[in-house]
Amino acid sequence: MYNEKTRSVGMKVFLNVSGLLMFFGIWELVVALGLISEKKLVAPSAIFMTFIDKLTNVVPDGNTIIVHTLTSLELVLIGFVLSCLIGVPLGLLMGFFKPANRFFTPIFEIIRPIPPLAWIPIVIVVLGIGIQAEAFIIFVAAFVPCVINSYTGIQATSKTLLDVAKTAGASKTQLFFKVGIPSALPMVFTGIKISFGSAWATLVAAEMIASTVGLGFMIQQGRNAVRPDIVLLGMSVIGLIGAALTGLLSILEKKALPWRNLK
Amino acid sequence: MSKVKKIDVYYILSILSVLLLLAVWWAASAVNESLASPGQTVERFFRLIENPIMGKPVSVHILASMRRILVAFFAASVAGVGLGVCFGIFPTFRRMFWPVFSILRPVPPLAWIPIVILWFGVIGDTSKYIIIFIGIIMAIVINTYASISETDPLFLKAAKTLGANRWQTLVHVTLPNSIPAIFAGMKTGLSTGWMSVVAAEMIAAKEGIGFLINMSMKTTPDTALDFVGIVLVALCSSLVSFVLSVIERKLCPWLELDVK
Repeated sequence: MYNEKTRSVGMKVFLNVSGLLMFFGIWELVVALGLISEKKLVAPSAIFMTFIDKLTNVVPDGNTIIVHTLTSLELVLIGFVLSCLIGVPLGLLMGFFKPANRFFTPIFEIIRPIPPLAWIPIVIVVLGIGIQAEAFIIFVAAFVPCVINSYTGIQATSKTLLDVAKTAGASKTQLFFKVGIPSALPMVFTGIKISFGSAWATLVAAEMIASTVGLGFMIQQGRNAVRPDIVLLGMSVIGLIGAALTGLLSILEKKALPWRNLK
Repeated sequence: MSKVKKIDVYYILSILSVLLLLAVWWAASAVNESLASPGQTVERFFRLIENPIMGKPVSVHILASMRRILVAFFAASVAGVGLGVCFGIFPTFRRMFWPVFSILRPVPPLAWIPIVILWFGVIGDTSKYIIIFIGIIMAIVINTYASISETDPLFLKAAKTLGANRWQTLVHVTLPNSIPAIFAGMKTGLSTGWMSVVAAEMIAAKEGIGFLINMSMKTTPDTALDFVGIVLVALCSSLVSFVLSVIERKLCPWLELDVK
C-alpha cells in the first residue's frame, strides 16, 4: 500500500533532485528578488563565495576556515574518544555484573538528565578556561549514549548462548569476554555513532566558553558582525562534517561487524 | 522451591554509591574554595527564595522554562508527527522532500542559534521557541517516519482485506502501531530540547533556569547557584518525561499485556 513499486528509476531520481532544486531555487530567488534583507539571509551561491574567500581571509573572526575546522575537530575528537574509552566499558560492566549495576546506575541516573551546557559554570571554576573545559562539555554529552547502548546491548545477550557457554564450563569472566561483549557489539557501535552525533552537536556550546577559534566561535562572531554568510557557512560546514563522519562510522561498523550484514 | 524472596544485598551498593557521589562533591568543594558544597547549594536555594534575582521569585524562573519547553514541544510534536506521517505514507512527498530534510538534519540545534537570532532578534521569546522547536522536532520526524514505514505488512494486508481505505488504515493500524516509537522520539527530542532551553536562556533571557545558570557566571563565580539550576533542570525534565510516560501507558494499554 505504501510502496512505490510501479515507479521507474528515472522518475525516482527526478523527484529526489526536484525537491533539492526547489529548495535551493526558492532560497536563491527569495534573496535575488530582495524579499529578505541581505542582513538576514544570503543566497546559497553567496555562501559558496564566502567559503572560497574564507580559505585565505581571516576577517572578521581572526582565522581561516581551515584553522577553525581543524580546531573544532580536535576538540570534538578528544571529548568523543574519552567518552568511548570510559563509557563503553562502564556500560558493559553495568549491564553484565549486578554489583556494578547497583553501584553505578544511581550515579549515572543523577548525572544523565543534566544538560551539558549547565556544566559550563562549574567546569570553568574547576578546569579553568581552555581546551580541557571545552573537551569536558563534549565528553559529558557523548558519554551518556555510550553507556546506555553498551548497557542495553550486553543485557540483551541471549540466555541460550550464556547457558551453552556455562555448560561448557566457562567462568564468569569468560562469559563476559567471549559471549557478552561480542553479542553486545552491534549495539555498542550504534551507541558510538549516537555519541559522536551528540559530541559534534555540542561543539557550539563548548565553544561558548571564551574560545577564540573554532567553527562554533566563527558563527558566534558572524552573528556579532551581522554576517549571515559567515553564520550559514559555519552551519553548512558543521552539518557536512557531521554527516561525513557519521557516514564514515557506518562504513567502519560494516567492516568491523561483517556478520551484521548477513540478513 | 521456597517462595521467600532473597533480599537483594546489592541494594546497599546503590545507597553507598550515592553517598560516595556526595562525598566526592563535598571533598572537591573543600579543595577548591570557589566550588560550592552540597550544603551551600541547599542554603543557596533557600537564599534564592528569600532574595529573588532581578525581583523574580524562583517559581517565575521555573515556570518560564517550563512554558518555553512545553509550547515548543507541543508545536514540534504536532509538526513532527505530521511530517513523519507524510514521509511515511506519501511516496512522492518522501522522494521530493526527504533529501531536503536530510541536508538540514545534520546541522545541530545549537548551531541554529546565531542565525535564528539574526532573523528574529535576541529579545522576546520568538527566537527561543524556534531554537527549542528545532531541537525537539528532528527526533520525532525520524522516529515517526521509521516506524510507519516499518509497519508489519501483515497488519496492512489484514486491514486491506477487511476493506479499510487509506485513511482508516492510517488511523486504526499504522498510527497506533507507531505510538511507542513516536513517544521514544519525543523523549529523545525532549532531552535535546532541554539543552536548547538552557542554551537559549543563557544567551539572552530575563528569566528562566538557563538565565539563573548564566547569572552564576557573572562577576564572582556563584557555583552554588549553578548547582541549584542544575537540580531544577534535572527535576523539571524528569517531571515532563514522567508525565509523558503516563500518557504513553494510557494511550497504549496493550504494552502492559506483553507477557513473556
